[in-house]
Amino acid sequence: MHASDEKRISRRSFIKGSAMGAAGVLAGSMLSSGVKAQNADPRIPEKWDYEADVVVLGLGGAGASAAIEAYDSGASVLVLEKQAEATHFSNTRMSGGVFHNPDPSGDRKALVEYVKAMMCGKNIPWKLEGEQPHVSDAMAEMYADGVMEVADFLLAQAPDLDRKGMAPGGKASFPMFPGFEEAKYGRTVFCGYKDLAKADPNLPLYERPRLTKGSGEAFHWALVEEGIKTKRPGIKILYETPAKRLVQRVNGEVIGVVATDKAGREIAVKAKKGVVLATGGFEYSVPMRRAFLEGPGVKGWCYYGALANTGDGILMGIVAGAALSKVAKSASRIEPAFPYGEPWEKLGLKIGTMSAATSVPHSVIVDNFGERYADEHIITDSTRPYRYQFYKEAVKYDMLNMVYSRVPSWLIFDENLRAERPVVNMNISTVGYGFLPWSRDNMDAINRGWILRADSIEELAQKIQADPENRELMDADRLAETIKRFNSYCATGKDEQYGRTPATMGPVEKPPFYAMKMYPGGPNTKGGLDANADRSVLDWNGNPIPRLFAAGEIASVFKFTYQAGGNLTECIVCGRQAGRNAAKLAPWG
Amino acid sequence: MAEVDKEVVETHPTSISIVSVPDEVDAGADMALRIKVSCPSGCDLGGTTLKIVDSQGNGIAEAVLPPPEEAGNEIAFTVKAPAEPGEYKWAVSALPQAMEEISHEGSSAEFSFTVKLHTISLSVWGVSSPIGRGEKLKVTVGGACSANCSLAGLPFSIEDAEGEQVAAGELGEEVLPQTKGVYWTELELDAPMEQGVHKWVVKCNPTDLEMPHQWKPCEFAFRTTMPPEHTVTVQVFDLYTELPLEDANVMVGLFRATTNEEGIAVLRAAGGKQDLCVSKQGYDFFQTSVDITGDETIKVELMLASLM
Repeated sequence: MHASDEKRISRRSFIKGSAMGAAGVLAGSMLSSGVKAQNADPRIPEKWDYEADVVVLGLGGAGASAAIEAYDSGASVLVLEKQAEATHFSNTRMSGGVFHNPDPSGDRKALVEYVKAMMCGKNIPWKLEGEQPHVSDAMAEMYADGVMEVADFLLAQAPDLDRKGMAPGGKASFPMFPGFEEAKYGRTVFCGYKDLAKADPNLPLYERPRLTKGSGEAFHWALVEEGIKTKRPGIKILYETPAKRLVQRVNGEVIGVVATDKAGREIAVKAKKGVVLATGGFEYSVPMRRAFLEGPGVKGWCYYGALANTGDGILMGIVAGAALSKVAKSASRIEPAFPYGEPWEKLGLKIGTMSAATSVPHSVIVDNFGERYADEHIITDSTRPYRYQFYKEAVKYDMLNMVYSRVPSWLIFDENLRAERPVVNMNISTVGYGFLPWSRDNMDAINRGWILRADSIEELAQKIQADPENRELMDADRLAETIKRFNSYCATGKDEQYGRTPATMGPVEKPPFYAMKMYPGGPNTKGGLDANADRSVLDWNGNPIPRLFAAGEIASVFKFTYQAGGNLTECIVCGRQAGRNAAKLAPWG
Repeated sequence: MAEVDKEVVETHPTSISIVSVPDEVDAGADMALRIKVSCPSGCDLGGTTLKIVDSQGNGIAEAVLPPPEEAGNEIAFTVKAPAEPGEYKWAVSALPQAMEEISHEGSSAEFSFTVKLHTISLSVWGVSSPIGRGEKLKVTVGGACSANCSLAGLPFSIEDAEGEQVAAGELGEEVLPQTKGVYWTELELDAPMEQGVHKWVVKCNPTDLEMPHQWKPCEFAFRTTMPPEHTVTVQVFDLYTELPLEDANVMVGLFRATTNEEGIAVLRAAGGKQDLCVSKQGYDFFQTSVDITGDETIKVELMLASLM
């Protein structure tokens, strides 16, 4: 069954029905009679270059999980991935590789309630994100089942993963949600191979031997390299093959995909049972950022995951009549970003990366006027629910001055911090995967002008003011006063303005002083296509678009809030659900 | 007739424009100017002499315009700004000149700028806070001039909240690494016997410097505590690998330390109920409450940060 699907279908073999069971196709509605196609609908290709029962678009965590599940359900599977195999860096791969693994002794009913609250807050009084009546109940049930299998699913692909790191336990992120205690949803857990501790820290994650891989690299390796390439070589992957549009009948049924192959040629791919959209978010799409994100969506936001995520599937879905849902939602906070690389600079996009200094001693975050505006520790504190929602603070509009005064925000730090550690995460994200250069002493970024440096706070303020993105808002006296005040809070151990956790405080005192721009942003966007519990993509009337499914960031189930690791968890839960449901369908041809 | 015409010297006007001049400049600092001279007929004005004069007509600087293929009839000047702060109006003139058959008239333009007083920024770092009352308090004092003057040997004093001088010193001869011109020195002072937060202030005396300088006092704060009588040993491990974690920041109350290769940090701490916090890059922040009743050893396991 599976092997035959790897063959290319020529026009000739297609017509003869020699290898592909094409008789069924001939009997189908696409070709009405005779040898030559008499297509009434020009959107339907006359010939198919490839075919499979289930066609998966995108090979991140969700796409891989969908492919594995569809294949194990007996379907033939073809995956189209736009990136090249050698540099296939999905958001999943560039991530921290963390996910959720609730304690199996928790109460299932409570788990459903807790999950529902995370998804849309519908079951919490006054939580107004809950306007998704047709999905929340069933979706919470689906997720509550699926999340219990995530760790086992990973281990089934890669038995050499370290079980210890995945052990359930600890406290989940939202103690104020219903079912918190009884559900035992637990803390975020980690994916790594069993010899991770023996890893050479100087080797990039993607170059490490399999058994010393950790983070998203391990997660990716388990699913794609082991789960698909090693264990299921029958799943065909076409790299460098971006999908361009869905092939749809007049009734809306999705029957295939048009893509561009390695040679730039347009190819038609027949999907006999269904298509799973798993192409991720729209983090690097200029028009979608402009359309959907608050404030200066292009220049004023940053994302630190896959640069290949340009909302391709969202666009294909829109063209196919899919409804959109909470598109502006992000799993994000504030992060640094830099103009680097010609294609991105031309588009006006900065490459985001992950800060390692947002709430550490010897640093504060100020707005464009030079004022602190929050307890910096809430940005990264895993024990408080604010995490991954901080972007909402950062895009706050200053109505009196008619400016986005916190875009960008400025991380002000001193020589103590500069010398102590890299101010960005060197292991994962865009620095770890080589999209941005960085030196451990931060000097490369300083020499490039990405980080401003000055001998005094006043001089630093002048340099900030000279930066066009500050729009001459910075006030040197105000910044000096902010730093002086913060330093006195450090001495007393009490942040009288925002109550920052004392252990994260330390004075900004030793020259030279530094300033790094921070933008709303994070790992990914979460909103996109509307999809139900089956992961069927819905149209604007709430009806499923036949044979079209979505999973992962393109249609995140977490529209209300987010516990770290939610993305990878739903990639597996929803990816499997989409793959399973697509495989279940009767083939159309 | 034609021969006669050839001998007639044509006269072209010139115009001079200021391409860039700083609005503000530090007293006595180098000031960069860009001047452009042009002829409406597009003549090559290379060799034209330019002269800058002050409002009294005193010459400040002179330069010769390079050939246009090198600079497009533009010239960059660097002149010394006046030592006295204030508003200045200067003029730049292109002197008339005759070249072959064409003579060029002179032209001039005025420009203004503000000369600023040099500003000394004082900073204080490395304050050993918290500190047991009456113990030796370490403090580093630094100063930088906005115009990068040498502040080596600059005298300063430290006063307490009542304005009493508690220490005096001079900045050292070396520039602090990574800075353009921060001069600094380390001091060891006697911490007050009173328990609590103290706010002291550093003042400097720049009268011996070549240029006049303004400065602002720099306040710093520190806390004095009861003598920290207990030794707390904190061992930090990775929750998953169970390996010791080096370079983790450990804080008991307000006392800090960093773990060594064995994942161990040793702190002095006062007795009583206090927060123990441990943080390390790439790991989730750890916080708990501990009751210190004597010398203690505490084991902490950190979990890899939940990044996405």
